Amino acid sequence: MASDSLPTGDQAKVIRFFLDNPNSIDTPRGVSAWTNLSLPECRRILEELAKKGILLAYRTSSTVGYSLTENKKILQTLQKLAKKPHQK
Amino acid sequence: MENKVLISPLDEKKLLEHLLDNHELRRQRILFNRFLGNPIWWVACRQNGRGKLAMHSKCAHIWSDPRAESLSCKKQILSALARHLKNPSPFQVECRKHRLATYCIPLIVQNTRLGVLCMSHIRPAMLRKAPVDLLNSTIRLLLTNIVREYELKRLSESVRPRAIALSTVHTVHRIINSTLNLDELVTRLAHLTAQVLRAKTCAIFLYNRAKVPHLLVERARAGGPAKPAKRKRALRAGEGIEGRVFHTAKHVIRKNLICVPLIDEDVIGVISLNDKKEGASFDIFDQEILTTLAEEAVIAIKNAQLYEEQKKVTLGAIQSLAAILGARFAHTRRLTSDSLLKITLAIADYLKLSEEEKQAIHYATLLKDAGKIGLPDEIFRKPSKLTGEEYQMVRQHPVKGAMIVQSFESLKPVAPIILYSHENFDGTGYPQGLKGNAIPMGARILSVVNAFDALVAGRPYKTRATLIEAMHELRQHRGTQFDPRVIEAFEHVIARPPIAKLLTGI
Repeated sequence: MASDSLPTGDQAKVIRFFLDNPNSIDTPRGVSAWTNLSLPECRRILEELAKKGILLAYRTSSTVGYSLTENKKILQTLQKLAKKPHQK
Repeated sequence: MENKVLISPLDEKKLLEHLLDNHELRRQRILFNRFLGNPIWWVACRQNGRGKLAMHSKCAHIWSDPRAESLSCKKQILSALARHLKNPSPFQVECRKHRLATYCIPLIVQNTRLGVLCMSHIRPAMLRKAPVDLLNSTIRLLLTNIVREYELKRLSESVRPRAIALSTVHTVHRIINSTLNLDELVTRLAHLTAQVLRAKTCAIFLYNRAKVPHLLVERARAGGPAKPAKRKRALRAGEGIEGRVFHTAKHVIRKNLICVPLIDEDVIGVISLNDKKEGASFDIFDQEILTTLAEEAVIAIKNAQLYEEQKKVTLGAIQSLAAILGARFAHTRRLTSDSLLKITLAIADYLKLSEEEKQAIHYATLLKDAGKIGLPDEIFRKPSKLTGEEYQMVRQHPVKGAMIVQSFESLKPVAPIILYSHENFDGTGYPQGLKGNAIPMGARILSVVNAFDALVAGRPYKTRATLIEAMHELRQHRGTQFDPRVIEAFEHVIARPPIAKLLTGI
């Protein structure tokens, strides 16, 4: 991860949601409800995070379910970054 | 009727802090300061709900009033507060030395005394009835609102994790129901279940009645050793924990293991998880989630099993029909149906077609001659050129074959492959003169394989070709009759075992 803290704003909200609820597997609609983000924005962020390997994506014909990666290295990095204060 | 919530010492502390932080209280403080001559606002409470009353440590900081730290007559006021411990009504404490008063409002929530809100250094004359009554009502209302907010927050904190868990279960349900392939379904289920319950391993066992002795066979596993065992575990009913759960249809939950049965009308299998991550133990919440997942999984598994059964029945019927066709048209073929099928599916694999496409090609290969069933044998044995009428009859066979197959709902994807298997890549074929990628890929594959079989089988009017001659002929028509990609795939496939072995002797 390039930065030394979690990305700010909406991406951070989504990452923090999954760090706080590591056993959650949810659709964009669900994550949007839990993070109070709009559905289109949530979809975009979830796809970006899936491309980065931070989230796993389970694709079906009707929806996509996202969950936190099981990659220990990424998880450790995220947990360290989450403990740091937000940077603008 | 007001809902009552139990208030613990921790709640008292938090409620008091909410009050001190409350924006509305700060606003009211500024308003009432005008009526009361800018008194010192502070709160007296007990540390951890016990011991002597003392000024709350955050007062001076939160209300930005450094005067609170050097309050005159503080001891006198605190003694008075102690004497009024059981007094629920507001009261006044006079400091004769400084001729000032402290007005005290007990902060009581559901018979629990959180503390006392005090306003010190007031000249007694300022304590007129009207503003004092208004102040009492305002504080009472504020306290009620703060308690309600706090209750809502607690409710949300208790409901939210369950709501998130429910949403997770629903999402898992959608994911596992998106496939009718049993192997894919149970593999996904094992991975998802391990993730939801944060377990290191998850195994799914299904009961196999087909073989004797009846065994509980491990169909999927997530997690576990990097190199999984070559043979999947198989247990008898009653053997091991999984066997016991299967036999009794009752779950087992331990610190490092949880196992629940998969129950339809009978027990069809079990899901078993081991070793929760981060050294945690499995608990009743995990059991509830796993039971819910298992109930949903059973429906998906039964659907997939029924689908597999249906496929077997369909395939059995098709194979019977193919055997009849094979017997009727044996003289037009060199390769057996089985060999043709292997070549066709090998090409489909090479071209990375989907499972659905491969299945359609499989059935099309077996049924490709269905349309010839109404044609007289003489046409196929005729050594001379066909008449116009005879030629038209032969050209109709893909259309008739597609119509026969289309009448079966499950074979609808097969119809276009049979229908267009005589189209040419350059558009000069029949029945519709389709060109290039407009011809379904399955039809393009079948076209090559059919042509190869016809070449090596020979015809009454043409001698058999050797393998090399047949390949040469096919290459000659690459791009015109045949799709170049399919020719490339065919060349690749027949050059390697096991297909090469099938063609020895040609």
